[in-house]
Amino acid sequence: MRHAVSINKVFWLLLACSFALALTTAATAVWVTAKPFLMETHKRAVISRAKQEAARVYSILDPSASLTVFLASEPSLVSYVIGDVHHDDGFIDRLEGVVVPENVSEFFIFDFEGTPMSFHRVSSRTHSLETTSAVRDLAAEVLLTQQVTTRTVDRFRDAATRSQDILIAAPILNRGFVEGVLTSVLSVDLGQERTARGQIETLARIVNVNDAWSQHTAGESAITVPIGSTGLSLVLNSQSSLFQTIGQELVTKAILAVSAALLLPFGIFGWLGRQTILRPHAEVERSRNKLREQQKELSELAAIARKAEEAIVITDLDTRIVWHNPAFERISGHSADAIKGRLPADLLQGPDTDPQTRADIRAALAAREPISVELINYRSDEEEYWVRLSISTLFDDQGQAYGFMAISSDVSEQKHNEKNLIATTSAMEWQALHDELTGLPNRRCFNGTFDKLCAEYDASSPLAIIRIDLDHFKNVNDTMGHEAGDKVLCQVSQVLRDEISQDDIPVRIGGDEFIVLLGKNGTLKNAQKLAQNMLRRVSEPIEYEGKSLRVGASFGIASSECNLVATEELVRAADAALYIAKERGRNQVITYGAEEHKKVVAVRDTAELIRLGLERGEFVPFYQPQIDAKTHDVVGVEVLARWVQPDKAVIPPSGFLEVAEQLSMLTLLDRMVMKKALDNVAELERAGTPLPKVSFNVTAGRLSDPDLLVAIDERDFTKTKVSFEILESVFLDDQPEYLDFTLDLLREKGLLIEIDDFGSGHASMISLMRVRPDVLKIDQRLVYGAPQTQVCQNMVRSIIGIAESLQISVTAEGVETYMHADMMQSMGCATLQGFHFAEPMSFEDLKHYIAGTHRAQRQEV
Amino acid sequence: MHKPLHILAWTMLCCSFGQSAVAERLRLYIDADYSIARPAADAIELGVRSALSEVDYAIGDIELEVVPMDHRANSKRSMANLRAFENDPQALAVIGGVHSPPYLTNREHINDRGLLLLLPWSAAGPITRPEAGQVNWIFRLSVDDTKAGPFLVNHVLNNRRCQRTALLLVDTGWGRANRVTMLEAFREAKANEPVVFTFPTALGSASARTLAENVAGMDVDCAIMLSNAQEGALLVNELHELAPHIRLVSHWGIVSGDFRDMVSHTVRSDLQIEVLQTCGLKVERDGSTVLAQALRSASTQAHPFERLSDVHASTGFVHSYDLVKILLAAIAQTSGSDAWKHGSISERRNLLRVALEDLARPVEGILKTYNRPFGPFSDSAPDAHEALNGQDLCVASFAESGRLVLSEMADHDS
Repeated sequence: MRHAVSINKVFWLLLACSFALALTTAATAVWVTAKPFLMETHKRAVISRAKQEAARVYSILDPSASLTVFLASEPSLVSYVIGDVHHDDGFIDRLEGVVVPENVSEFFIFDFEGTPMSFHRVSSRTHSLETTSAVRDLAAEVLLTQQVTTRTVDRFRDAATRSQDILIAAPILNRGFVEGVLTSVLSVDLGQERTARGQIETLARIVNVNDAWSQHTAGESAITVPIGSTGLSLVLNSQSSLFQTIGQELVTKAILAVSAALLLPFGIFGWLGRQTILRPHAEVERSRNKLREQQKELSELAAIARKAEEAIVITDLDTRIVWHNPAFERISGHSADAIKGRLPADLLQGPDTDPQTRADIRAALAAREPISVELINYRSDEEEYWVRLSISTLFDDQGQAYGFMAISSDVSEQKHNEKNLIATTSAMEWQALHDELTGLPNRRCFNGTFDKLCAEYDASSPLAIIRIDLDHFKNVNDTMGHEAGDKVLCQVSQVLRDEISQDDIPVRIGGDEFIVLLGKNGTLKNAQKLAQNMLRRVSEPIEYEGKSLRVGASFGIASSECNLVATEELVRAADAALYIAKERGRNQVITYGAEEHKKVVAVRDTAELIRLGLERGEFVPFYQPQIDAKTHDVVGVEVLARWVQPDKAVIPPSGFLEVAEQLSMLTLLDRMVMKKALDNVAELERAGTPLPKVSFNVTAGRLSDPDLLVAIDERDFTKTKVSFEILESVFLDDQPEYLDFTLDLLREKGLLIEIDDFGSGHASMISLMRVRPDVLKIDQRLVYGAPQTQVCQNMVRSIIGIAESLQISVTAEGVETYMHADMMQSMGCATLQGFHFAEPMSFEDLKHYIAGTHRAQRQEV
Repeated sequence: MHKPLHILAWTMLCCSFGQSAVAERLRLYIDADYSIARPAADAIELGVRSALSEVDYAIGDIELEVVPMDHRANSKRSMANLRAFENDPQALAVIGGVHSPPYLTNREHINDRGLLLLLPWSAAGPITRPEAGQVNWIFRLSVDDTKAGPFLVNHVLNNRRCQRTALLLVDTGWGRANRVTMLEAFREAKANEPVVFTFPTALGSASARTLAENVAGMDVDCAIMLSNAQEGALLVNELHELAPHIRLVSHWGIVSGDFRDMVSHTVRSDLQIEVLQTCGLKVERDGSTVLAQALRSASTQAHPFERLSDVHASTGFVHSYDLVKILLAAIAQTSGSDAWKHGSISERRNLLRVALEDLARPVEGILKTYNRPFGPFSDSAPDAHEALNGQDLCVASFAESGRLVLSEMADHDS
């Protein structure tokens, strides 16, 4: 083989070398002959281009030079340069009156010493520092030579367009004497002659004729052409691609011509050599190689089959086994003798082998098509095992089938694992959707099912939700332990299971809360009947460890039959009904009917109005004056929130406080009212009628709101004291430590602390001593009752006594009659507040009220 | 006394003897246009040298040297000359040239830096009136345009009986200042308001022709011209061609150069050109010994001067002669003082300024005898730095030869 390759290679190599040598010799001869002519042609072309370019540049420079000389002789410019006038307005006027070539960008004016006086830009182009420097140098030169001079700045202004700055300087003459220089700066775009292959590539630049450095750096191949009489030259560096291209083309054509001439004799020689020498030799080699390769492949395949883990069987066309590998014996358990000549179907398949699979195999064999299946086989000891079997037909070189090859592997273990996995997955899914304790579906299961039912909802088959909440279940847990609680829950679950019909779904949604979803026939009647039954059963006593446990339950029902809410809202409606059942004393069934719906909608509407009211700032402070018991002077006001609706209706806190609290809007509302109140107080102070004190009702929680202190700190008044009224109940709860801290902080800021509704029975003396408020406000219920009952009088007296002993001032609230006022004053209350003196009033009314008080005081004075 | 102190005392004594024995050399700069208006500059220098030669260029121990500097009618060059003067520790005073613009432009700098400037010819009024709060360092013995303007207006209205006058004014500070004073004079005389034309210093022939065409189209019978010689000559020639009927009275700027050579006698006589002058010619006519002495002092073998009209641009000669005589008197008055002897050049310039404002003795000049020609300047004494006044003005005309002769039509009383 190697011998044949080398003969072949040597033959063609020698032929190719001979051919190449002939071509190279011919090409060299052509190149040597043509080169001088090509170079001369190239040079002429470059010179021609350089002259064209120089003429173009001159056509740009010439008008600019003429203009510069013309402007330099402008009398107003002369006056400016010699200092007769201090401005160059005349020159500017002149400049505007002439057409300045577009290449000109600036004019510089120098005085007789070469000091720049001014410059004028006539285009948006800017010049470089190098250009500025060159302009100065040129001015100095022209002052000496007194000649119009053109210079280039040896730097491209813009590398992309290859534009170059040119300076034209003309002396400014006064009576024939040079007194200054006018220099124009213009930019000449030299372009970039980089054109397609086969053209001359040129790079032009402008140099000063006397600039030796520029000449030197131009390079030997550069062509230099003078630009008119400007004293500048154009240097053109050519990249001789034309020269190279023509040369290459010449040589290429020569080679092609010689190649064409030599191709025929070399071709004939090659063909004859191939036919007589190379081909017979190659034929012999190919046959030998093929035989060698087939032998090798067969031995390799046999070795692989013997070592394979899979069972391999080869049969004839009658499916009788003609060969098998050791793995087949190992897997099937049959010996080699028992295998040879047998039909695999008889040998391996048994009663549990899938008949359909066997039929599939037979059909594939008949059709000579490959097939892969999984089926049960039997070992020699009758043990079942699963195999994955692939059968393919064997064809000879001529494409004739001569047998089948079956490859199988034991997949019994894999089958076993799959079965286990399916079982495990089912258990996990069940757990995810059910409550572990009661076995009832859980909330997740409910949500999925409910959503599905809502989506498939049909009005002819109403949906109903029964919400169940066990009453006092916590007590069972607390008194009997959690096991008892679990027992109750399981019992209740069993009740649900017992009572519902097949289409209903009982759900434990958490803790002691259950839902029964009536997916079909969820009419109100059915739901109510079911609920009543369940209530009855749940209320029955439950035996636990010899004791009888009893729990009740509250039921809320909502049915789509009522058409009050959308089906998706049924759960919320049932919740609302359950809430009402709890409110009404528990252990009962409440249906979400028209009345309940009305209440819910009313609360929702109120909530929306409060939201809007907050946005529109409808919550305003009202003020109830506090009166000195002896002098009847106004000693302060209490700020009370009011909601003034767009129709001017004034709503007291009872109309919005509860809903606002449910919506967590109380803080926002408080802030709004306080901000307005602080502004009002500041306004009164500015008007010269400052209030002595203003009191705000704050909860203990609100005290910790940092915005509260910020708002107070930012108040814009100084003469009015600020007081916070805190409910007495603040002492009842476990107040956090920050309460003391906060109260101290308020005191440091000069604020007063008042205890509101004192006497409602919450405060201890210790708490009172701890807080040490500035004022106690007696609960108005005590004040109301004082004229009628001795107990109330005694209580009021006691409170006043306590306050006196702690040196705390006392305010009586709810002073509605003269009798109240007289009694409280006589018992020692310092301050009185109530309808007897004034109702809560708007800020406008308060202003009138105070004005009236002041007038009265003045009259008394 | 210790030995080292002895040596020091002897050394100081010797040095002081050395100082007194050697004459001190100080310099007078002439800042004039030696290029364009060379005749004027030469006339000024001649007057200066003539006055100095009479005292052998020395006053006591002070030798005076003249340093001519050319400003080429360029205010910026004049400023460069003034800076050179300022930095020269031996430079005592500057004598200015014929042109007003350099000193109008540089006046603030001159007064600010304390540069003693004596003006024998430039006439613009504001030059000798400093900005408020500045010390006045500029003295003039020449026509003051605040007087010359009204004088010329009076001449055309009363002597020439002109009905409608054109004002041809060079567009410099000099021209602009005269425009104000002359228009005011016309108003005061309740005469027809003149037509005003301005032209730049570097007037070319094309522009001169355009200007002359405009003047010719304005129906004027007289013109008052403020111009230097060169552009004045251009304009006059064009006027003669386009409006030969006009009678022209010129400020004296035209005699600073070669006007008489550039304008033919025909043109001069057709236009009846008259020129403002001080009354040197009148003095000569009346026979002045000082003038005769001055001409003798100025004469050399090559250039003998017998008559004042022999001196080209004689105005400059007369004024600079008189001005340097006043300067010499001031030096003589103050140089004997201790302050002078020990003062720096700046202090000496200041002493000289003070002396000029308070000359104790009269000075005999060509034009007149100067009794306290200058005084301290103030708002109430705006002419304090003017040695001449309206009484010293005359009008001259050109003889055929080009010399100026006293005009027959006017005298200084007109």
